[in-house]
Amino acid sequence: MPAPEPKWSFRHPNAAYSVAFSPDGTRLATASLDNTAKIWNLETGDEQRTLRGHGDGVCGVEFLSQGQQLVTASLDKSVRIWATDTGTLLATLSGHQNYLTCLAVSEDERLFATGGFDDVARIWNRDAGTSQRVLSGIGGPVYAVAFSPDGTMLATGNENQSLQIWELSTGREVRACAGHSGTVESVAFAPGGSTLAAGCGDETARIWDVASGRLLVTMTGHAGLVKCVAFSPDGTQLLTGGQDGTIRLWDAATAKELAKIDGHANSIYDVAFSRDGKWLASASFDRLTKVWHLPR
Amino acid sequence: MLNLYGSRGGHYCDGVSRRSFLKIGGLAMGGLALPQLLRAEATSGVGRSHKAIIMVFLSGGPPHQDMFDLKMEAPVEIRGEFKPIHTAVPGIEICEHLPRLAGMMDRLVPIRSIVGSEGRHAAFQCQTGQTVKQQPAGGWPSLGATISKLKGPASAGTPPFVGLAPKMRNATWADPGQAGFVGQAHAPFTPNASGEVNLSLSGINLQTLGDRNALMKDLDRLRREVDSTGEIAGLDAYHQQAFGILTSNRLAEALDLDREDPKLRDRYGRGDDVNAGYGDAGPLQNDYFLAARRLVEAGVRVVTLAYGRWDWHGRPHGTNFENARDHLPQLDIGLSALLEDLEARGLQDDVSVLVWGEFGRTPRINKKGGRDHWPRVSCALLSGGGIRAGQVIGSTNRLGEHAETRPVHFQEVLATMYHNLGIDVNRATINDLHGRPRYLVDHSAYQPLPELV
Repeated sequence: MPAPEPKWSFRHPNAAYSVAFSPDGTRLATASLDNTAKIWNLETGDEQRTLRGHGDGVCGVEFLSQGQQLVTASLDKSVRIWATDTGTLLATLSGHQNYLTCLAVSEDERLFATGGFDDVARIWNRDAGTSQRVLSGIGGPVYAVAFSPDGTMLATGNENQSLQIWELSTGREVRACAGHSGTVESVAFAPGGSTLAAGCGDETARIWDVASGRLLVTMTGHAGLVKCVAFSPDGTQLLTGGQDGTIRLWDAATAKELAKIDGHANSIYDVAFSRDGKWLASASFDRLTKVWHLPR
Repeated sequence: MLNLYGSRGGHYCDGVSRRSFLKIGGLAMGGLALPQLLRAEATSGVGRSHKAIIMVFLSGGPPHQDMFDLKMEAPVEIRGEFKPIHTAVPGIEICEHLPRLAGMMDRLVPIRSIVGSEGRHAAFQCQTGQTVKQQPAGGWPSLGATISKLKGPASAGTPPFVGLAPKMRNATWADPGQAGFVGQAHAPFTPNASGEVNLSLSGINLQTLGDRNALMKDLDRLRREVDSTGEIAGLDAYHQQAFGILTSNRLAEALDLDREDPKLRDRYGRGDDVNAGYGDAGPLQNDYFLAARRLVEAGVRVVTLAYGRWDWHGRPHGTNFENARDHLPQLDIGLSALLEDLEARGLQDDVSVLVWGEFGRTPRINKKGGRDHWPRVSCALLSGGGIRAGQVIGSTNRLGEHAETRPVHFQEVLATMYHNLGIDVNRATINDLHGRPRYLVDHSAYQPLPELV
């Protein structure tokens, strides 16, 4: 399949670390090592807003409240909430003792999860603006966090090759998915919540059965770390981005590679699907975030 | 700071047309009094060729084993992710991300065995050849200050020494080369540094700067204004330099890159104004390379610049290799453009180009995908100035841990630079603040590299 041309290519003056579509698909948020997040208009390609205030690279970004707010996470150890229409900073959440490296938002948007180089994951109550639970048994720098769709569990991936599933009500580890032989770089629950994907430093992505912790399929093909994973909205496909600068689309059931896009000149740090499943976005250390029509 | 606003231009990819501007700030150039500079304005241009040096400081310590000394025989935890490529000189291989430099290897000299680093995160040793500790009173003078002292201005109205480094959070990387005991008269003019001097000339822009009469009227008006407040007597040498620079538009024109052919500017790669990497060093600003060429062409003898951020300890600020994939291609574009441009103008034998950093990086890749500080050995790249190019000097062992053959000290490299400017390091001395003659390098131990001169 020939590599498609991106619909848009947005540039930060430093590495792009994270990307998110707005719920209505009209805007894209990007986060960068340049200490900013930006919002882009996907109809015109214009840069709408730059959010400044973080003191270090911004590593996570998600839309909230039907796109009226944006949450960002930064290596500066803080999580911030912004009004998208004005760029006003609404709240700052602090607590990590070392670099904060990853962010997740629960489906009901009441909870945030973050992980950091202080070897813990924190669960934040958005309304209270406080950290309501600290998961401290992870045993290494946390590279990835993901909420289960029902908001009862959190998956964490860490530098010590562990993929763990935690029960949020108790803070107890309920499952460890053993078998990765490299850093667990990224995690994502499938829309139904029954399976969990992880991208790994051993150049694979794997899909696990959440209930049993059983390995279901392994995607091989990336030449280097698999740094990011995202399920399609219907859960049938998995998108991965890698250190090799490629974006790959896989059949989530069979692990067959459906498409490969040689899209970037450096590691891909994040990938995302639009909610309608028609578009995908990739954020790369090459400073670019690209928006692609989903290969068919 | 003086802000000289230029014509509208600078159309960015976002479609916004922004005022291009030239900042003249941090006016740390001493020596010539205002009357001299005002007189100098009337003199003719450089016209004649002069010897010059462009020093590119790679702030933070570039990875020698990922640039000019790849270790393919080393185990994977040392070898890294990059592959070597052939160059224009058979037998010399360098990193795959430096293809343009590879293609001009017959004009380059990689040194693979720089030793003697004191391990300090600073430009100091590259600028002076000396260590920070045990400096003489007044401090060691930098290469640029020394040449300023020994050679003076090559042309009237143009400072002999310009440092293009911008202000940085890590100030030791922004050091353009101190004056040391030769005195502030020989400190670099630093057009990109911000802020120590606040002075604005309202109504002066690059158009009026080109109109000498208008400029002189503006300066006269300003002088009258400050005279009326009695402040003129208090203006220090820096302010006087500011006046002097403004009265000779040679320097301003050299720094105004809008005057350059846009295609050539594109060939240099342009670059970013935003600081690279962690944000505490300078940007990957390829315009600096072009500005350096324009400055030496205008008569500047030594131009120093700091480029990017090379202190790559790893995540979460990107691995050594991600940062290298970011920096190396841009360095490759900018540096190769500079060397080609110098050659196209017939300046290659007059202008020495030196590229290096304060130390190398650890052979073993750390858990965060980074390489840490490694003062035992590092690399440098030389070109031009009449050296015998197309050869490699020195080597390291199989793992890139230490110099195995031909260790080269920082002072040997600087001695070569002095030689290229016609200065004999065995004879030239400068008196320190106690009146004691000081050699430019420890000449009993360090000489210009015989392989090159």
